[in-house]
Amino acid sequence: MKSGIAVEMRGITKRFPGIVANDRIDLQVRKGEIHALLGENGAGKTPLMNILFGLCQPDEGEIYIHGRKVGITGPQKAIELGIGMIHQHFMLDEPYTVLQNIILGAEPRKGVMIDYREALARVKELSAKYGLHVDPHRTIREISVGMQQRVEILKTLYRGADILIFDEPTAVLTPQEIRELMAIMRRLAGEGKTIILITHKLKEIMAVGDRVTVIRRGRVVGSLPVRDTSPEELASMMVGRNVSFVIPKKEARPGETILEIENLTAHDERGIQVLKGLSLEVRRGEILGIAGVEGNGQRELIEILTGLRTAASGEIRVGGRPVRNEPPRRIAESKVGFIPEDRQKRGLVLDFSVGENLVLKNYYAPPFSRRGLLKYDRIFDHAAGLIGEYDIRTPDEKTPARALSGGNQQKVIVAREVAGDPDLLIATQPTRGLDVGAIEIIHRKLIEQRDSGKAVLLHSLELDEILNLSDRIAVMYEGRIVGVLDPRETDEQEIGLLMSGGGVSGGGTGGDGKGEGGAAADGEREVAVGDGTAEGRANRDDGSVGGAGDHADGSGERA
Amino acid sequence: MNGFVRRPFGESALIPAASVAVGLLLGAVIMLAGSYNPILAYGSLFSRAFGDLYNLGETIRQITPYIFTGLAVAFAFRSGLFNIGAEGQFIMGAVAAAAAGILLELPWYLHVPLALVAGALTGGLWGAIVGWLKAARGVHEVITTIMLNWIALHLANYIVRSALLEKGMARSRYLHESAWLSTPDLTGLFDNARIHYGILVALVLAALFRFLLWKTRLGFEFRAVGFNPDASEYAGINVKSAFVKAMFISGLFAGAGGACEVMGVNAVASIAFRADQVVSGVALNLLASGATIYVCKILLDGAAQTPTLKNVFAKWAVPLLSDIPYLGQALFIAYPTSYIAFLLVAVVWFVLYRTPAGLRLRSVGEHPEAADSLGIRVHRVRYAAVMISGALAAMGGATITLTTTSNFSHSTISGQGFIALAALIFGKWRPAAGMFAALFFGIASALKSVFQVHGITDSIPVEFIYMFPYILTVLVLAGFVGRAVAPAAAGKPYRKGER
Repeated sequence: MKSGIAVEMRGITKRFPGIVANDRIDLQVRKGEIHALLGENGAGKTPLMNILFGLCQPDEGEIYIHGRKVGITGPQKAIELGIGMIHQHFMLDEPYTVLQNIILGAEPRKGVMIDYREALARVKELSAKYGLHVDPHRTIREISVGMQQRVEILKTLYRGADILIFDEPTAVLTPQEIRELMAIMRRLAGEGKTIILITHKLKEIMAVGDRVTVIRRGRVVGSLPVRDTSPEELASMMVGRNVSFVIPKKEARPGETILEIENLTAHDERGIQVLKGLSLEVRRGEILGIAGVEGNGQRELIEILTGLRTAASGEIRVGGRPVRNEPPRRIAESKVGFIPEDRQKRGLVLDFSVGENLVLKNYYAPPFSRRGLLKYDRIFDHAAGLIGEYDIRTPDEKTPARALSGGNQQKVIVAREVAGDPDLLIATQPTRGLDVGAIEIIHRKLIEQRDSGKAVLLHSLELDEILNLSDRIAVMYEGRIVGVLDPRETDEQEIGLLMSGGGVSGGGTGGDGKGEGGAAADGEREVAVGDGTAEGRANRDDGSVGGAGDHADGSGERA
Repeated sequence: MNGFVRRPFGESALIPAASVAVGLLLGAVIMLAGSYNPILAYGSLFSRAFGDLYNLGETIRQITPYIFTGLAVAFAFRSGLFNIGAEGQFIMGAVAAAAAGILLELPWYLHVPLALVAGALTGGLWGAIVGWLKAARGVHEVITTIMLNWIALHLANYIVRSALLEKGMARSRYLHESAWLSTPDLTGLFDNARIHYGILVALVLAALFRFLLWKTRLGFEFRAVGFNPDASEYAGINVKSAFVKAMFISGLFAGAGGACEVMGVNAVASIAFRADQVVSGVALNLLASGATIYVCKILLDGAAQTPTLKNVFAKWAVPLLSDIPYLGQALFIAYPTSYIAFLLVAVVWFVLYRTPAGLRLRSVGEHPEAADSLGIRVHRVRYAAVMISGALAAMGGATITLTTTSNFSHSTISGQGFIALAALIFGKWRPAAGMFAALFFGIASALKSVFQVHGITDSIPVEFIYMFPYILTVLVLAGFVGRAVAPAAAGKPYRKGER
């Protein structure tokens, strides 16, 4: 490994109102290495990197780039210093072309005009050198998520970055795309670029990292070479106690069919067919997981199932009752609960109180309203009950949902949907952006629902989540179910292949999605999240710190 | 934990109070700059407003309509709608109440409520049109409310002229006394100020506003839709129907205001010849019209309008081209400012779509976070854009005084900015398309004079010809254009760190 320190941060402290996001953090990144920054959501990784990229200023501490002390007053300054950031939520102008996005802010000129020919030549050269294939003239709307990420990388290289920060880069990628990205990162490091990889995924660190620095609750817990450590050690450093990784899950006992989908077809806003004769069944007492690369019709399927979008043809029945193209309220009243993908956009009215959000779907019915009048005492009583039951950390039921951390906001949604006692619970990306504690509670609730005889339809882009929770896995590709697999008899490899359209084979009977793969194996299966009871206690015991941590989670997401 | 939970401790009262204080302070500074005595001015302002019973009564009379329109705008806003059309709903309410008050003869205990309800309902329906156009056709409420304001003005004039007119006057007949909202007892109490019971109606409606929004199921839906239409849709609330209902209720408030005004103050509806009063309500516009007159008075020794300008632009014939028969006359003999305007369309297009500055400018409107992450200074670009935009708009204003009117008074500029806003949305936020939209408005208003010249006004009431461009705009938008895609971050403040 080459010597020489590319980035050194000394004693960085950053306070947000009520919490310390970074507490005297020291970080040393060597030139040409892939340095992983590991920590739970809210541990303070993102604020630290935002400081390095000049998006916010530290309250204390010093930064050295290539041994020289610098003040990074803004992104412009960071760019000048050769620092580039690949953001988790892509920073791309959708109506612009790939080329325009790359050159924005550093446009080559010919007279007063933009010299697109020169721009194209430079982008082509970079993309050839680092193996970053893009279509320069397509708009961002038209290209895949993987290519969008390559555009983000090219943006930094175009500006001459030699220190690249990747912020949770794999969250939206398929297993294959993740492997490609790992190869790209190695190639970049091989060319002398320094890479900082922010992640909470141990697998990625083990696969690609040279060194890893672990952060917990705003402090550095340790910094060590990846080859000298193990996932178990990193996990316990990250969480602060031994992680058993397992909670028990009983054998599934699938019952009658609750959801039947037959030959569903639908078009998107541009009139392109996104569902092409999709069929699927979900039964009581099972969790059916839908796996797939983003943009293969999953979102449209879920929106149709919940009444937010209309289908062109086909049949949907819930408990035998046809519900296709019924309005959302009718579907909800057919005992369908729905945990939406985007909790802030769909799931909550952030300016409403927690109590109001907890009755968002049944505010109109007794006992919450009578003769057109709201009964706020009943609404808040109801809320107080659920706040206790779901351990929602909020000062009280009248606090606006906006003031809660991401995990607690999600608990509000889950509480509302489960309290509605649905026969079918649809959950999309239910744990996206949440910390281990919140993930564990939500996974438990899903399993609890299944065990109490509800049908659960789970859609997630996190393959681990699908593998761990599902009793059957339906893989979606280009608007169809291309295989239904038994999670005990399949692996990432096989699912990944189906997700990318690579042949229809595999565990289930495939094709029509009515496979028999239902029942789970003998005995208890295990789910890879933290030990439930220990986590719950830990959270409850140190309320103040836990609360602060939760808030850090919220601000981390926004930051 | 409580440290980061913000609670609005009486914030709602504090902010307006602070605004008023700052406003008074700024006013004082300006007066001092003009070497006037602010203490004297404010002193007489307060004594004029509250000094004696008469003035107090008059003040209340003046406040009353603002309470109604304020309620209307606030109610729509709570539901996520920007109701610039309270004025139009107010006018429609006034005319309906006048019609009920003049054409019907009933005992007062029936007549007063009936006229009030007629006004409120008409205002409500006028508002509901806006809600319906948004829900069913996706037409932005800002543009429809502006159009409907003008349509309301002319329609009201037509109704007054054709059905309610007092012979030989530019106003309606008097409302029957049984429909009056003021009584000698009340006015007597206030030294014959024109105070009326409308203030009580306003207060009742303010209470209703509060009750409706915070105590009822419907209010829950309105607020949910106002805060987050996506989550409301998800929760099973019918967002489109909420838009229509909210605009109806909003219009109801404004319409009731119009009814009270006509039943309380003069008991007549007058014909408004100009549309100056339509374009009020937006504070900065009020400021601009006040400030220009103020400057005018300072510069011209107290005259409220400039004398006729001598050195204005003359029409200019393009050599050769203007000799083309027929076409040359129409296209190539015009004020030079017209050519400058067309040239500017090309310049603006070039800057927006071909230069680095334009790329950056559009990116700041589309995705400010992305621009910021590339080192583009979002606020600087936005300020520059607003200043250039102001300069271009000012050139538009200068064009009017330097060509057609040759002077400036308080009524020289009336509503062109709003028409421009409409043209922008009509043209889907693009310079060339916006130019065609502006041409369309120009042609439509030119048609007025053509109709008049050719005597068509004998068979069609003149008001309908005035309304024509606005009706056409609404129809075109509802029928063809539909949902225009605005830049994603248009009108949204950008705060660093809130991403």
